[in-house]
Amino acid sequence: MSSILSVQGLKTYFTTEAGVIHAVDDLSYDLKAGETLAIVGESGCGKSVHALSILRLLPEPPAKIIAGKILFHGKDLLRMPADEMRKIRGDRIAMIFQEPMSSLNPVINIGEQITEAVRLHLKLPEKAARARTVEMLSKVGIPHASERIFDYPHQFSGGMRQRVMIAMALSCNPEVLIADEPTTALDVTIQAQILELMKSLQQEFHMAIILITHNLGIVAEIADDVLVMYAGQGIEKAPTGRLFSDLKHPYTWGLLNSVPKISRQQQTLESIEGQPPVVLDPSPGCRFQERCRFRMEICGRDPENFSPSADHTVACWLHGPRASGQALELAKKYEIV
Amino acid sequence: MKSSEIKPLLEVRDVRKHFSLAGGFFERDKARVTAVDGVSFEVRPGETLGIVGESGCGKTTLGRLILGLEAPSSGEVIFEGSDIHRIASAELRKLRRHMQIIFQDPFSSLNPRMTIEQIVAEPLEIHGVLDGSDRLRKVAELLDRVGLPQSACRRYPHEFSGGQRQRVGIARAIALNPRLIIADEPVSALDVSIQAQVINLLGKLQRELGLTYIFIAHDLAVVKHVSTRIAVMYLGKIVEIAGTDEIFSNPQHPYTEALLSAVPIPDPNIEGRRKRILLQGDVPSPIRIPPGCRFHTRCNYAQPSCSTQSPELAAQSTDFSHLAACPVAPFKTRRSVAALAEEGQ
Repeated sequence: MSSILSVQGLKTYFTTEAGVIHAVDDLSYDLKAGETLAIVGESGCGKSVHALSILRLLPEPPAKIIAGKILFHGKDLLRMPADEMRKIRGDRIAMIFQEPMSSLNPVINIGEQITEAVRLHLKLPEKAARARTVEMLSKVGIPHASERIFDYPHQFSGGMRQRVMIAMALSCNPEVLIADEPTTALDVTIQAQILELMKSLQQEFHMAIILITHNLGIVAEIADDVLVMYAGQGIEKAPTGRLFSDLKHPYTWGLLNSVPKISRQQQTLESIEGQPPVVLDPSPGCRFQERCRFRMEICGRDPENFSPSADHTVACWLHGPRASGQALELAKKYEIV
Repeated sequence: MKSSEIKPLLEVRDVRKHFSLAGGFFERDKARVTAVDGVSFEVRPGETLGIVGESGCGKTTLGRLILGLEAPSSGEVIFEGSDIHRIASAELRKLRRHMQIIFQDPFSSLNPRMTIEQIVAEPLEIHGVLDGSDRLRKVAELLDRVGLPQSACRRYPHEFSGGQRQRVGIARAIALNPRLIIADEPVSALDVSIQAQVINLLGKLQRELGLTYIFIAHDLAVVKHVSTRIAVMYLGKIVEIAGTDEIFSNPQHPYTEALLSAVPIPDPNIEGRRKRILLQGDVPSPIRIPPGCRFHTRCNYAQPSCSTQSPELAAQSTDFSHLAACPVAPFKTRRSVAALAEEGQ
């Protein structure tokens, strides 16, 4: 399958009084049509900033996209005139956010909010747009949709609001849906409903999904491919099954082993010491090295991407020819080389 | 009954808490939120009782009732033999030093104008424990115990990350050598790599200091990891309570079963195979609790009788260590409490 969206060398920086924050620093990946790519990382790793960069929704200043291309069907979104971008945003690339309450307008009823998008993007007359709105709301599982379009966001529960957001995002048949922590604010039983809904709608609409999350359980459940981010950079990418069975980056190892699992008995959790860095005017070298138990001399230089197998890339010197014997010995014990 | 051989540290007996909402003609028919509705359980010394449930199930209110931060509408909370809601306030004060709390949000639970030293020393000061250099030495020891550097003393909360602040909150909670610590979502505001650090710290402190925990959380994987027993709450009631392994391997309430199946497991092999039980709809509002079994509106096993009869917790094992409030779900043949008691003798 060909890639529908291709991010190449994206750098999004923020200028602050303290210095320049390298929120996204040389990020590249391809998204294939119809697939679900999960982007995983902890807070501040740049996963949300990267999503807002794709849609060009970041305020400039303080944000600035310094370098890179975001090719959507081969056309660079970053160099597209604003009116052309507006036609793509919300229409062909849609986004849903973590907190549905703050992304819906509290003083307009939800029917009008969705109908407006449908009228603008699909150029449908009022009546047809309204019918489309009701159809979408029933599709996402909102009971009595034809009556509930007159309700306001506060009259819906958290899970129902997220359904409204999904209906709105999908109302124009997007080719790419960016979902930024779509279930983080929801209870687990509601989360299960929303994930199930996203899976079935993806099949129906044949769209590609970029799922941004910190929850590895959700990744295992719905992603085809996974990209792990740390401190603004993509550090490992692999098909989901491979990432969980044969991960290669020390940070991925730490991330996976620091979460308790209901399927297994553990005495102590493996924790990653220290905390994720704020990437303020970074010096060269691997950004994980201070917290890494396999640290070597060469880690002071920016890691290259290595490919232990097809479709699997990892930015860690352990997998290059210059890895030190001692570190390799230890890494073997942890089964990451 | 084996469980009664060890004297419980805490007994909660049929505790209820209603909150009145404003409104109503002449204040007569005010709406009421039923946050906790007839909850009973015991906590034995040295154990960790996990309390799980979704938002609005009353788990935080329950924690506040146990600490005496909230007065129950009815029922008793008995800590080491005294009912904390009946005793004089001076006495309650004395008891309080034995029960402490760790809060969810390490950003709002520390006073931004106090140094770390002042924060950790405050409980010692209030209860008049140690003074002068002894108190400072104790603070230093506490910081060391929770893995903070001594240089933290003169610094302020904003200079620390979420994980470090939570360590400060833990140091404050253990300052008075409490017997019981209620941890209310202590790691849910933290990043995963930091969560593991805090969970490991809580485990280490329990082993070193012989602490008893009530661990309130919504994350089942975390609760499973830390707890010896687990109580599952739904809309103000405990629907099931049992030992951790037992509840995970042999859930007897449909809500527990659905809750367990809803947790995504970070392993695609398991994720691909297992069956997921999806619940219909949302949790009902605690203002309008459904009649009968309060879970029947979302239950996949509901029978007509479920909407009229309110089930009580019933024994699922001969030693009464596993209780569940569902007479209907077809998990396994249930025996009456009486029959179980006979077998137990």
